[in-house]
Amino acid sequence: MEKKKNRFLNWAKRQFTPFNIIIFAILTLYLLVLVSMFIWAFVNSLRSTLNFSLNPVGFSPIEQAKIDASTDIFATLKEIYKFENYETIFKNLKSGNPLVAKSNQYYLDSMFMFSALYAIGCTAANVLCMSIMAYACTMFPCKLSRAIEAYVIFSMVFPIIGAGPSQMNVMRSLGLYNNFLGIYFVSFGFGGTYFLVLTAAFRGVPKDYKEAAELDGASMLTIMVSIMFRMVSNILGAIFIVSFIGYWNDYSTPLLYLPSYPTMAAGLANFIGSTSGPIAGEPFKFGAAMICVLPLLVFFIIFQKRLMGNITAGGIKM
Amino acid sequence: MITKFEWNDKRKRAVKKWSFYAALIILPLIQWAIMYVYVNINSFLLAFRRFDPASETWSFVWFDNFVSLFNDPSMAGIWEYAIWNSLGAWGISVFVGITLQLLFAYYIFKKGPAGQFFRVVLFLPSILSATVLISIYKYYADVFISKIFNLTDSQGLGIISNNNTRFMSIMFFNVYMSFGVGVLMYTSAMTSISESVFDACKIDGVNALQEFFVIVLPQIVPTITVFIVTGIAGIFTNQINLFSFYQQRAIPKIQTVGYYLYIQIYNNGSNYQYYSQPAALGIMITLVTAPVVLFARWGMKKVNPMED
Repeated sequence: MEKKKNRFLNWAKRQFTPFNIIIFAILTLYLLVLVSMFIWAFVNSLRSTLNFSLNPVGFSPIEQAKIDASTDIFATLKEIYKFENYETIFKNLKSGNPLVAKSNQYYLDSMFMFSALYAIGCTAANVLCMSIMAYACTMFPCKLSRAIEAYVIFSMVFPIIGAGPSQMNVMRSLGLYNNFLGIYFVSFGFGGTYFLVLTAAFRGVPKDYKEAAELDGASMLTIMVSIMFRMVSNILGAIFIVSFIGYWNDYSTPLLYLPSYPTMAAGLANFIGSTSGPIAGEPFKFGAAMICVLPLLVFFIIFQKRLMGNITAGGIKM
Repeated sequence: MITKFEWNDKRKRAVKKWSFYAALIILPLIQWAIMYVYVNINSFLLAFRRFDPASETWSFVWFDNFVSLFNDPSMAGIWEYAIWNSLGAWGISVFVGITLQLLFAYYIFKKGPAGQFFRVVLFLPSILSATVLISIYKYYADVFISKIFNLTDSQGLGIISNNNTRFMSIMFFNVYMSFGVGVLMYTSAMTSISESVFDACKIDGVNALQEFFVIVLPQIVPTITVFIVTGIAGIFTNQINLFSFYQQRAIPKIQTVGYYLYIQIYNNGSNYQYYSQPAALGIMITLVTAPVVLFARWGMKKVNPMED
């Protein structure tokens, strides 16, 4: 009993240091803000625009009068908080090219499809290109490989600012503007942090595997795909997931270079700014945000361990 | 002595090896040549040219675009606000953002109460779309927080609508949502520090804060360098999510250079006559940023005790 008590006291002494207490308090506050933000948005996404504008923090006078007069509180609350708002969002939330007066308008299902096409295609193009280049640079050391690695670091340290107009100009001239193949081509680049993570990962694979495969007569392509890529598959998977999330959430690129195919993020960005129409009220905006959160939340729950376990797997040094 | 057969075989293998290498890198290099080299050369040229919409032709105007950056009244907001806002945003994200990230990472690393749970919570906003979060935060801060904590001004405007608190409220959002990847990276860097160092600290009776400043911080300087250097490189491309907050309608007082450049392309997608001025501004800022980044990288290496 005494032993247990001592162990507990030691544990408490270790855990409840002034530093831990302060950081714990800050993190708890962080959590409370995050959770309350989503709860507030969800609750208000079920209210009517009029009631929300009358009182965004508590019950509006209309709602209060209903509650005061009610005999069945649950039935009254059901009347105030309506899931029909979500039905209205699904029926009315649409987006098109904001720069064209009478452009095609797409509903949520199409936006979801555009998001999938954009995120999967761009991630595949980007990760494929990065992994091929990282493999080439680590397995075939030569001046060109070293120059490519040096360029990647250079481009991270010195991003050339203001190249956007030029990129637009080039994309328009080459027919890459406003089509998926064009945007896939733009994504087929090898610059960025994950290139460095992948080169570190390939360097970390013991050479024995490659040499054994060579002795067995495996072709260079087989060694690359079946042995080396498989050895770094955990890191490749994590990079794929992180890139996918990045592309899924990216609204700025589709808005600029793919304006006729609004993704969910781009459609939501257009929708947030809208001030007219049947779903221009704030509750509908919260509802649309909730709908957009859902796929990623499910994705995060499924891949959370893989994502957070491997994101730091490769060391980066500049 | 190498026989002719062996020499031929060796040569064959070398040809095969380098052909495979060439096949691997050819497509990425073509993409790079077009989307990086050509785009940047073209951007450089755009800064010295101007498009005439009437005749639909380009002409060389030498340094006129650069001069107009200082003379054009529409650029006043850039010099008065955007550059300072960009620098301010960077300062806040480094001094507040990175400091908190390091403290949180150390807390998680030292297995503080519910550390693993908070690790997931801090990462969660990184996977959610900024547009989604902003569509909620905008009203939550402006209506809910302002009302609950009595932060509305005399006209009843909340902290996002009030011109004086707008920028800081947006920066609060940016810092608040940016902990995820940084905390993960710093925790990972701390994990790689040898256990024996911590054991020695325990014997010497070092407290948590001393351990953090004297042992942990110097050992993870390379990781901090990556964040600081890439942060400096991104000072003038960061639009601090202003487009999600205000679309094209952000007031000049809160604009950053990154936002200004984005809006120029967004608003003038097919109007070539508006391309030259942003390109000139970009070149000028690149020329200023490049030596600063180099100096910061050199400085961080100097202060890194691990370099010795």
